[in-house]
Amino acid sequence: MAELIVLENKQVFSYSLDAHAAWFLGRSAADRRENEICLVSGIVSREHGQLRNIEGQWFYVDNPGNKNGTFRNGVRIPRPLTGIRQPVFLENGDILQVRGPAHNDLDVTMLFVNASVPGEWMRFMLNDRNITIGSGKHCELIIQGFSLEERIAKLANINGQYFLSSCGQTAVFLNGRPITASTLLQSGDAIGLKDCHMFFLGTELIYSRIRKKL
Amino acid sequence: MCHYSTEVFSGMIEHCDSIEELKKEILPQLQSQRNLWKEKINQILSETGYSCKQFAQLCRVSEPAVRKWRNGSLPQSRDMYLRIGFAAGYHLEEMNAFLKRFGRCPQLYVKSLEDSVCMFVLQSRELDHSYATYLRLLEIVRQELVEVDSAVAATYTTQVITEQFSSLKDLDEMVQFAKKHVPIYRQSYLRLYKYIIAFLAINLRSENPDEGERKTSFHQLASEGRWPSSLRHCVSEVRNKKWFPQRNKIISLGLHLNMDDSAINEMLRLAQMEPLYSKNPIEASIQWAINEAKLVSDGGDVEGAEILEDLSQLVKHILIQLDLADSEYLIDDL
Repeated sequence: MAELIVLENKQVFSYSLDAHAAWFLGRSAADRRENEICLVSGIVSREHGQLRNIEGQWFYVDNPGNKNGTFRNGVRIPRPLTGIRQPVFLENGDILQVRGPAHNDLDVTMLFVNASVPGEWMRFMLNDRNITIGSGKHCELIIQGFSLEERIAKLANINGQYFLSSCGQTAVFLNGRPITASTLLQSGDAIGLKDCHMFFLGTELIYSRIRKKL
Repeated sequence: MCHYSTEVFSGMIEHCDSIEELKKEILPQLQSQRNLWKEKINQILSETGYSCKQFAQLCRVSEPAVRKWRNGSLPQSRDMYLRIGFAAGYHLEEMNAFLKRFGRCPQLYVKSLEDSVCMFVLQSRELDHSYATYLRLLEIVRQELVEVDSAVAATYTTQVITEQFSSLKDLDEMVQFAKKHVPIYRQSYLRLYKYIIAFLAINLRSENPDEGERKTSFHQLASEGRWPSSLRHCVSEVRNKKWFPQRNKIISLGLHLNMDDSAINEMLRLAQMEPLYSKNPIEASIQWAINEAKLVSDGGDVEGAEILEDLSQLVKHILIQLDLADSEYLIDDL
């Protein structure tokens, strides 16, 4: 089942996409349709983009003329020629973001999930601690999973800021791209650890373990 | 002969202000595909020491065909480049580079039955690396697959399949690997087909009533755009999941659909090919034309809006003006 997990204003919203072949993404309108994903951030255009299922494959399509564009896995989706809409493949774990001129709380982060079962979202308070994440019992954040290492990632608190680093064999993704070194986190960042997805919100993590569709 | 890197050339094309500058300053620095090929085939013959007659026998062609290659005539099929690569004694990486750079066609793709057998031969330490061996093994594998049920298949990524393939030790394992992946062989370019189908679906009709309904169907688009029948046939094959992609057809299709370079490069990537190549005069001209179209598009030039109706005609106009060697195949499609 396909889901779009939206992180906005430090809140997580989940949309089950399978009910419609097309979903319209944009800033809230008075008369909202059933297949609309309504966002409140001022940097999102009223008709920002669409998610389309075509022959079983999900695509994202940016609407021409949306002001701030959309990023997919950290890379801005190119603007096509006038009058053309360009589809972009959506794969399990892809991150879509709308970013304003200043990367701040107005930014919207969306996670596309294509999994056999939906996940349950949980909150974890950071409390200014260093946090190790993995399946091992010594981790501050323990995530059970058949494919997770004992220690996968670390969030280090340095002078009040959190830095993400990898501490295992598993690749650690930040906003859809693998990290190669300790990286400063900003509120709204999406962290991917194998089949576990997280949002960093400054003082807490919102996370879910979602089993991948086989 | 240009000595700049591809990235530098891409930058030069992006900043080129006029067709005159493109024609006089940039394109003369690029070698035509024909000249490049002529250099390459003569280099192969020199390094291998084969006579034209010997080389022709290895490639299973006539001696005059080899002589024509030596004078710059381009081989007409990917299979022919494979034969030449085998005769040149290439290993797998060399063969892939040869196919992409000189054949302008896909590198060997593990999700293709024929290609995976070819790769197996090229990587084998026991087998003779020849086109004849490849044909013999392909026939053996095909015979084994005749009655394999392909109805049900797990989904494997290319990376997973490549990892499984790299561990194959002998022909028996190759056969078992092929049997396991029959459904995948039958869908080698599925993501490419999906992308094209999605592009057509999204741009030829709109489900959002607020946007106004586009009434253009594919048939209307192809008719008004005077698409050649070969290109319409490609789209038909795409819809039936049967098309074996060719580079020039991918580019022509993209231009007719007003795709920009990122979308055309996405199709090329999905077809296991290199992106538009700045050091190829024809493809450099296409990149320049698309950049020009983007400038008009971004600037909201009302006069230029007519040009944007059909990017393929803009590119055709430019290619005719530039009169580049070997551009006829693309001009005919536009």
